[in-house]
Amino acid sequence: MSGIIGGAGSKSGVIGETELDYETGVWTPTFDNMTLTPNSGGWVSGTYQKIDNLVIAMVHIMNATSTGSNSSTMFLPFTNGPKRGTVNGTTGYGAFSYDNTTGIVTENNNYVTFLSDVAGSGWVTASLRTTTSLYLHTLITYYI
Amino acid sequence: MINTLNKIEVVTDFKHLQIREITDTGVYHRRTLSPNAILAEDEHQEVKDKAEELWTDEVKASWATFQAEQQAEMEAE
Repeated sequence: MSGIIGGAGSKSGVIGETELDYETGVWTPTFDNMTLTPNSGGWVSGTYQKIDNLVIAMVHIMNATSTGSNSSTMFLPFTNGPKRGTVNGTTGYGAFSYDNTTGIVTENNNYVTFLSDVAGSGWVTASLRTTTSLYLHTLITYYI
Repeated sequence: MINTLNKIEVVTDFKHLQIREITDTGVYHRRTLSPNAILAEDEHQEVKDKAEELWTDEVKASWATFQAEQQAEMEAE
């Protein structure tokens, strides 16, 4: 199918014969109890697209400083629906308390919980470190 | 705040403020504030008022308890 969905911002449109709500924009990824500040030339930002009930959110944190209490909770641009959403990939440079971090968007909540599968311990929550050199890129998808 | 406030939604049982603004280039900007957030001095007055109204000590405590429960639940899976 092909079709037209408005332009930037909040629009509705039609693909084939299906009417869709569509919104795109930027968002600021925030961690509970933490402050993220871009260093000179750095970024703390995100982009999102909501296509009907599907939300695709990307995190772009590059060369930033994180302060506060280490947290595994990162807030999202929309509240999740009744099914869990997923972190589809995370690339970080010493960003979390554990390596190989992934995450889950729990039912009806508006945040990601970052997790790591640690041998012998199972799932453990992975907290964002306080650092002056934070790099984190993440793709998250979920249905509201 | 350079952005223009467009919408404040109160979401979840913990009174999170889901905020949508419009940037100076006309793009939507979203962010979420939890009850233990420290609001910036230049935060929109409407957001400050909403936080003052909704973020009671009970709500803050409830959010902290929920977070601890969720962490325990995740790590038990």
